[in-house]
Amino acid sequence: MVSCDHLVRTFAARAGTVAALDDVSFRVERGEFVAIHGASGSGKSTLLLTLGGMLRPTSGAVSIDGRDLYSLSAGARTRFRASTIGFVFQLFHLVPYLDVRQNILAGVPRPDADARARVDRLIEELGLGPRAESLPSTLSAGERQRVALARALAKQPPLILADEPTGNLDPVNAGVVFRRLADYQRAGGTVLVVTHGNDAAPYATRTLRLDHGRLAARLTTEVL
Amino acid sequence: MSTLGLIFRELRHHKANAALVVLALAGTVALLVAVRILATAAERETRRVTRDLGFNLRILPRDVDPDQFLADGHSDKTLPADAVTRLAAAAGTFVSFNHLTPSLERRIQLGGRDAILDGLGPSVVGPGEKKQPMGFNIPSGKAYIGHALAQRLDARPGATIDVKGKALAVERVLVESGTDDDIRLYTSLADAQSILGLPGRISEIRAIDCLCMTGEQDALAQLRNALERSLPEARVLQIRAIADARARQRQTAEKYTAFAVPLVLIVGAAWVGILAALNVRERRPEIGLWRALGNGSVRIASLVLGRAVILGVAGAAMGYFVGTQLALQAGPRIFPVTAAGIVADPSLAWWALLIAPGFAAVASFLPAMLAVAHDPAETLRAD
Repeated sequence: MVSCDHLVRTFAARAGTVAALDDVSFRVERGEFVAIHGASGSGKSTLLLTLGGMLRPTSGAVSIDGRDLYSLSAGARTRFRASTIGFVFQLFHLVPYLDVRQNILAGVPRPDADARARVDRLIEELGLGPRAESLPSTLSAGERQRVALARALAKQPPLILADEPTGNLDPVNAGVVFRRLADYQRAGGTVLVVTHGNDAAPYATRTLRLDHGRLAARLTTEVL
Repeated sequence: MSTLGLIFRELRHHKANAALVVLALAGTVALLVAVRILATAAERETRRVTRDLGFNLRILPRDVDPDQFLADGHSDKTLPADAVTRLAAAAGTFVSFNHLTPSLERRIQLGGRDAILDGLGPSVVGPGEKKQPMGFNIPSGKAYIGHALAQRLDARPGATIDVKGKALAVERVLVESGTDDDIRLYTSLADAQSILGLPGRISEIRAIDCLCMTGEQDALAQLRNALERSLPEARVLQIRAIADARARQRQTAEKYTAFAVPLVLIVGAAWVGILAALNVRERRPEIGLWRALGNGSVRIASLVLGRAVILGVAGAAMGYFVGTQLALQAGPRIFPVTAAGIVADPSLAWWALLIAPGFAAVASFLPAMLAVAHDPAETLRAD
């Protein structure tokens, strides 16, 4: 499903060039739930944005479903992302002027009647029914992240990339998010989560550790 | 959700920025509408004021002796009276000349001293023009009499005076002018021809030049060329001081407009552009999100430019109303002579509605490109 080979991503800094990703290679098979664990600044978000086609690597390649992401034109990559990848961000990134239902629908490229029904089901499943017409500014952090999760799930993408999806949540809400991601994975979806804690580990089929831009080791959930 | 739906929701959310953009556009449109209405009023006032300076062209018989003309102040040669109709009928005449007024002028004796008899025919203006005739439109059998001449003859309105055997009723006594108009007796052209025994003849055609020349252009040469084609038996003399005053006044008004309009446009565009940039800056996380959700450059640019167009429509409507009110309030105080002519111009509303949205879009183009070029990774990364 996802393959990255010798990914390098450097940034210019005052002190010189900093490698956020340093020769990172791994594969994620369809139907896996992979958690990438690492401390703040280890390059997790950079890795996720690179896998999501939003940050071109300095060198190396990313393939999703056999397509080399960065050999596509910008437009084709955008269309591919719209059809293939769902994102969940730590800071939710909800559109502030759209209510809960509209925010979730915003994740669906062509919202037909089926998609609207699916969105309504997600709203109920994630306990957002009473807040469906509310603006993000009136929601709690847990509710916002559930909206962001619903938005990623609504278009039924083959792959969900989640960047610290529970970073701003209490354990109860964090559990809701991971359980829903695990349900999605069991239904055949592929999940790749980056997180600084190990709270994703109980739900992941595999866990990797990222340390200073390098994949340090392959860990099993049992080790964690 | 459609792009339009998103734009309207975003406008409701960012009310302050939207209101400021509308205000900027309304201010720009209002100033342009006011400037346009007042420029038209200024042109009308200038035309009227300079017209009151009098005719600045004298079209004379070609064979007139310049020395005699300059010494006597009128031509002793004559043209056929139909010269004015021929000149009016010639193609392109009213590009160069207007208010063609036939005149027959001679020095006569009245009350034992010199006076000037000035017979005036009706003014001819350009086809379709509704201009008031210049000079006097004197009925047959009536006379307008200069101030000094009236005192000499002890003539008051209603009195009858005898001019070489022809009785004329004094219609008006003119105010003292300090020129030879004070010893002038104005009559109809027919009466003057009858008194002087010159039926069907005129000594000159008085006119105003229509040319709005810059300082570098030779207006007189153009007028002479035009007359050469249409009335070869005549020559034209330009009263330079009046012509120059007209040209200068008109050029001043044009320079003022040429300065004011670009200034207003630049200030307005800068204001709208800065506000659009601030809006884009504030919306960077949202723009990054739209990118992450798979929206292309066209959609991102449409969100910014579409917003500008919608605010442009609102600004145009408000600006037209405010600008018109501004002009209608201030105009009559600035241009008192032609105050009645200052009216709203509905065609400006259509122009404003057509141009302001485009103007807003152009002013927002750079911010739109910044939005399109925005790297979503900058705002979406967590670490």
